[in-house]
Amino acid sequence: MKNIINKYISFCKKSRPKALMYTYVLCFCGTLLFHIISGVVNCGLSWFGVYGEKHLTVDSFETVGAEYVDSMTIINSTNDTQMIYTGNVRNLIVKCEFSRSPGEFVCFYNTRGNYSFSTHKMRYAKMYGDYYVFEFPYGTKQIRLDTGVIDSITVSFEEININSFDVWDYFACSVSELFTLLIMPGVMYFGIDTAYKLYLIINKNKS
Amino acid sequence: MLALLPVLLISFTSLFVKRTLKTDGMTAYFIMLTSSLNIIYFAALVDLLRPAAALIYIFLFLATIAGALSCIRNRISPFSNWKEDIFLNFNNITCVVFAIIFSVVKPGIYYWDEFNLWAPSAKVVKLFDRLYSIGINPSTNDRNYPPGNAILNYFFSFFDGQFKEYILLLVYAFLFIACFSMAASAIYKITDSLPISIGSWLIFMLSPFMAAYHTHSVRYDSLSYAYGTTLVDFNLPVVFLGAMALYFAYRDKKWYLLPMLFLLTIKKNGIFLALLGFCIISCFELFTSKENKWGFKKAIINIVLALVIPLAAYSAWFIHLDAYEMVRQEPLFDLKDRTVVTVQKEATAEKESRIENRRIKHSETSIKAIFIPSLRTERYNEILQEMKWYFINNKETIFTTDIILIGILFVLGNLAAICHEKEKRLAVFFVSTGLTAGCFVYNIVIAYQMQFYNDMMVEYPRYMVSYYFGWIYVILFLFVTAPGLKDVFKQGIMSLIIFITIFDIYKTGLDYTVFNAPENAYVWGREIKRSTEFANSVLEKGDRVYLVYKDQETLPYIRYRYNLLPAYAGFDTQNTGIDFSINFRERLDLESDRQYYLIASPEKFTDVMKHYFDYIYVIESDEEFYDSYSTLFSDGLTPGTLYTITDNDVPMQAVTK
Repeated sequence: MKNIINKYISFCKKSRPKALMYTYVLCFCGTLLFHIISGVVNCGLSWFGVYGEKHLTVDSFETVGAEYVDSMTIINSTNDTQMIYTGNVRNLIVKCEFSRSPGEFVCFYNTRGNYSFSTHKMRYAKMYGDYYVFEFPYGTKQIRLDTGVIDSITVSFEEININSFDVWDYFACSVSELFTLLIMPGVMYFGIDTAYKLYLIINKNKS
Repeated sequence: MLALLPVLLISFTSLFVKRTLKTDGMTAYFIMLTSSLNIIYFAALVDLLRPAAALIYIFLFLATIAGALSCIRNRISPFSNWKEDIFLNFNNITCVVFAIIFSVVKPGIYYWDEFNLWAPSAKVVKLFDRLYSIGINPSTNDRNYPPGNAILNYFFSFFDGQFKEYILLLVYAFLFIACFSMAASAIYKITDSLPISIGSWLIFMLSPFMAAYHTHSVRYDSLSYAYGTTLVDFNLPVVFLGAMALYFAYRDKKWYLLPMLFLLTIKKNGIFLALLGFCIISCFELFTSKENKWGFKKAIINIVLALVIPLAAYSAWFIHLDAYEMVRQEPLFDLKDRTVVTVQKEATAEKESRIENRRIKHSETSIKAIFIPSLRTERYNEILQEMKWYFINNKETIFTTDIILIGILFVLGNLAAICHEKEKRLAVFFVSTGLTAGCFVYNIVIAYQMQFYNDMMVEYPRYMVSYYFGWIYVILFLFVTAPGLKDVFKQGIMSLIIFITIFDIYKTGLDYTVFNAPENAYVWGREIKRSTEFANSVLEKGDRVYLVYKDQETLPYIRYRYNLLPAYAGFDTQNTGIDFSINFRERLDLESDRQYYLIASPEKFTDVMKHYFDYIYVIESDEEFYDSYSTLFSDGLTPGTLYTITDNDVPMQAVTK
């Protein structure tokens, strides 16, 4: 290991621009490899039904503080209406209309399925076109969708889907990762150079 | 992606031009970019915007072809010195990455001033091929705002026939990337240390995230402003950095005047930073004249040039405003019923005594109050007191309170002074001290402007960011280029800054930045865009549209007006001084702070519409308007409908699909 580090350092000394370029190339290749591996793993999990896609209705949820109208419509009967779903969830995609602004549209989650929710594990709805999207970390076993802080609001669902991904989603990197790929290799290069200079000074002081 | 074409063209041209300029590729790129922007700006002042842009692109094409032929003839590759042009490559790759991100995410605008001022000004210049200060001004309620952002957008979106909000944001990013890469390239030239210059580039690129008013709202309703706003307050220090970097790296050349001129076209506050630049240049020229090969006399000439040329350019804007001011016309109709004026005035007076109206009128004070404390109004003094509190307690501008930030910058600046070459120590010391003193002067000037608004300190962080970041950039530049400081010490401090910033960004996530934001903040704007799609397909450039809306909520009104461009929606196209945002109604509502006209009769309303407008677009009417005029509309007046104004018995005819 020490030999590898020494070789890298002498290479950097000879050609800093090349070292910088190789850092970027390495990071790019590493990201590609990571996405291929994680894509395969996610595909596998989905194939075996761990995070299989499901199209839900209101009946799939336990509702609290809601007046049931039909399988895709509820009315908030309190200011804390909840819809609880238990199962493996990575994302929740909802297309719905509110009879008036709900004030808040959030989803809590937990990894134990024990009906324990807190604001530390909460997601606000992200809007994409007509859809509200909630994303959860791996291991989420239960979610609680709060449909507003105002009562008497009618919520009409058109679609309620969980774990909705297509194959490309498993492998693709998000565009924001491009920003990370732009900055992080530079940070690594700078960080390694700084650490090396510190190491030299510490060694010099010791000797 | 067509916005990348100018980036590529200038890059190729700079690879060939750099030999003539005897510099590296990034410096040549920056010089070509700022030259192009300045040429277009001055041409626009005499209404030659499009020809100037076309000529510049023809020149860039021809220069690229000529350079390529020269390389083929001499059998040399323009990319042979890629190590010398590292920052040009960084610039190009970063521009491509940003272009991909913005093309996919398609960020929009969502803040009041963006709809009222910055986006409409760019949209008008793009769609009308002229400045909004020439003839009818359909972009802003103040034609005095200089057009730098609009010129920037025009240049980069020249090959795209349409105006797009995300392209406007993208071209701002291109400008930032160019200035940051230029500054890093200058640092590389001075220090010959690639790690130091890369570290500097990283800090510059991450610096927009350091402004605390860039913080997110947890519901995604607003986003980190970093690279995601069309407000130009951050553009000022970034271009200032480019100018100063050029000056420090090429002190025997006058290239720094190019970005300095562009700085003055961005916002009126740019003059403050330009004067700051003049002071910095004066310090360096005076204190290092003995060591410079050009001596004291030339130092004086450089100082005078640094002042005169920017001021001359600034004056050109005001000469242009005078030359192209529309002649005021007398209104043909008296919309104000004088019999109720007294009642209105009484109502207004009583309202003012009940509601706190703190703002001062321009006539109640003068600019001398900035320099003479005894001339200051009570409101001015109140704001200065509030600022003192903000200095010590406010964390809305950057990571820490203003007073601590000022202290850190003062210490770093003086450290840089001690560690600089002997001949530059005094210059750096005076720059550091001058920037500190200048901060207090800037505050006094800003306080003068704030007394004309009701809100006390809402915009204070945004105004201060322009100064603070100009200061941060200069001190950082002097600090990293100080030869007496060991690289490891510099890199240690830079690492700390980079680590804290990256931690702050990724702790909340890129979801809260323009790079990966959902559409929450843009939903309302996109709904308005969808609802005006049909109207936009009917309206042509220059059509005059009267907007019907309840007149208390002005943000929707402004948004519709912006969306209906290039039609003139709600504008006084004949410069008669009439405010057409008022729907011909009198309101004696004491909560109102607007003057209203008496309801006109249906006949008078029809006459006014026929004279001043071609269409009417109904956003939403209030009860009084509906009761008074619905019989004039062919379908009884329906929200979201466009009506053409005719001579029929029912004059407002709905335009159907």
